Amino acid sequence: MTKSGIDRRQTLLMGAAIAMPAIIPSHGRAATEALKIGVLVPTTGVHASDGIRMLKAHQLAAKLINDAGGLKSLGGAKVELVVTDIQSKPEVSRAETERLISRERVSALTGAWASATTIPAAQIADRNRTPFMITSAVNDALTEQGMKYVFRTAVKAKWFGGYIADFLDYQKSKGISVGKIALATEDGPAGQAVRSNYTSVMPGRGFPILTDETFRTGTPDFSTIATKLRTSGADGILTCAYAEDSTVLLRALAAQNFRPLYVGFGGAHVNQTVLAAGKPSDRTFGVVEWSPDLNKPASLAFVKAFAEAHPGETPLSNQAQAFVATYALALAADAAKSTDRNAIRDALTTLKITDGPAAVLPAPVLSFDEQGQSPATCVIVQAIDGKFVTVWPEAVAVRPPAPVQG
Amino acid sequence: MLRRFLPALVPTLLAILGFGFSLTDPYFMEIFIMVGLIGTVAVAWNLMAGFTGLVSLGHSLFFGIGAYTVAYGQVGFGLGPLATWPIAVLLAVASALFIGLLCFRYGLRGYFFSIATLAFSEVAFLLVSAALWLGRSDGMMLPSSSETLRYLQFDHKWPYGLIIVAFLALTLFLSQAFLTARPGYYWRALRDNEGAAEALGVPAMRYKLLVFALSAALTALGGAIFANTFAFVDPRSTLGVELSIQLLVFGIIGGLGLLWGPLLGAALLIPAGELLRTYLGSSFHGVNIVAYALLMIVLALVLPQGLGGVLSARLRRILPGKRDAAGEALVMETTS
Repeated sequence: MTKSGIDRRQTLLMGAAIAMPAIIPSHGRAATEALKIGVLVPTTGVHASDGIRMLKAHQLAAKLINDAGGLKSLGGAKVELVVTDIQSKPEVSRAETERLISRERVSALTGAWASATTIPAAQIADRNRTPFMITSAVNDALTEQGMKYVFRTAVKAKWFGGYIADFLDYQKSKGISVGKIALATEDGPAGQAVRSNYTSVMPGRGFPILTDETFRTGTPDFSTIATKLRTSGADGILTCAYAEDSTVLLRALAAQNFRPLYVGFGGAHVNQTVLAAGKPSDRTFGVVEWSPDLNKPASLAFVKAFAEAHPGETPLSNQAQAFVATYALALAADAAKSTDRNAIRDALTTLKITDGPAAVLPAPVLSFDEQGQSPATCVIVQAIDGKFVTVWPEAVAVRPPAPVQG
Repeated sequence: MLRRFLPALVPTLLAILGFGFSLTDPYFMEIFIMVGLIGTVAVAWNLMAGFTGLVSLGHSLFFGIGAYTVAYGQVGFGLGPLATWPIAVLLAVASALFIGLLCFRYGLRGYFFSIATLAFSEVAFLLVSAALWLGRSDGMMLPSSSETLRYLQFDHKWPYGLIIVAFLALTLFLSQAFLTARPGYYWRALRDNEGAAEALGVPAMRYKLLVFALSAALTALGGAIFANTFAFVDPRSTLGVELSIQLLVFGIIGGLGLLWGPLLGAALLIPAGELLRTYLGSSFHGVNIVAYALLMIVLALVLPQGLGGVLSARLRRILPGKRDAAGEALVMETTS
């Protein structure tokens, strides 16, 4: 080692390293050209915490693929994520999509959290013939408008009611009968979207709705609503409420000694805050797109890898979707043996993932129909002894549903 | 005639140059479209704020009316821009007259007028965010159609850029026509001293309603073009308070007393925001937003009369002996 810290051998090595790209023939470099995937996530603005969380899952997928030797059919090409902050704004999402396509020349795109930021990005991607893998937006129209380059790992919003009806049918087959439904939903856009879905689906599936209560987020006293739900004669309650409201409602129901089958909606119910309510929340159900205890080897491996990369953190459903979205694009490029946008798009239409590290989501197969929609499904989890446990569908359940107390 | 319309002609020619340059890259065209569209709407907003002293914080309402009329017209009734754009303008004018009559009848001025307009736009934002038939907070996608011209759906961006150049030219020339005629002088008189202007016989109510209706009509047209250009509308982008604040910021940074001031503000700040996001956005979360905010603070401190104000002062110094010639017409300093 010389005084400057670099000896002659190191200098030679450095020189060789610098000269190497010029020596290697250009087609040799092209063979290991990285697969550039544009990642649209909100890392600032109102959805920043969700975006930062999802980014970790996108990065984990890229890391696992690269650590395993990259894309085999492309000579071990690495997956390179070109991450951009869409600031939780539709217009930024649109502009950044345009930039990633025309300036960064990405082969494919993924993102972009909420429906309002995903729709403009997907439209631009489709117009520019660039594959776009939607991670978590559930707006029905996204895969109903005939866009040829748009694909989705997530479910459609209008399918949620169907999942609940399927679950209630399953319960009936096990001798637990639920005949009549009561709804309690918050009055914001999310609550009302879920409400209109339930009201349009449930009666047609043989579950008449006896009462339909809407409440304001942050309502301090749910005793009146609890009384209405109890006296309606319903034996099943479907809700969509933020965690704090869910807790207060569950306490109000418990105070009246009314313990029907209770199904909360999404991450707002499947939440530590709701579990912290103790006995009132015990044995309640929640419908979510993925759960970390899902009985599937790839899912458990994903949770383990995530915990190793981010100690103390347990991934949420949208992170599983982000992980799968990145993986699916890489697998499509690998199958296409190309980083060309059209080749990846064509490979996505024939992709069929049933096992391997990308088989994380609860549906048995990850594939895409002619509209780009995957046959995604939800899972039902139940609060049992202080934690949420997957209880349906049977194929991925950790255990059967526990009887509802009361 | 040429001298009269010079403040409209020069920015239009510059916009045509900008359009030509943007043809080289779709990303540049995206930025050009945003600058042209929001900048032009800011010019329409400034007719009220800069020239009449009516600072509206609720102009997103009219933009949203334009955008949602186009979206709902196409999704619900299959109508194209030939039908939806005039309806959008009429709806916006009706809304402006209603709000204006209420505000001016009860003598709301200054901050009170601003807050009243903000309240109306916020109510619209909340209503649309909860309206199922308008797609709630998810927004509405305009269905794609093979009838390119009927629904203004092009595969490339440049036709939208061309439409925006036309919209910009229309707004600038129409505004300049008003500003250099009786209404323009009355508006400035009302801005400087409403009581004195009324005492001299200026019918305040009528002329304030006129500027409100004109500004709302042009803003709604901007919203309608936005919907056709991006084939997607949502409450946040089209009815949110952020859009109204953007108009205010572009006006202040560009120069409130100039016809083309807000356009200059948009032409400076929108590309600056894009550049900062491109080069700083991926380094630390939010650092580009901090840099953007610092840029605005510095500009506001260094150039209190706006960038356009400084430019116009420079022009006047360059052309000292020609105060009533071309230079004066271009400068058109109106801030007394």
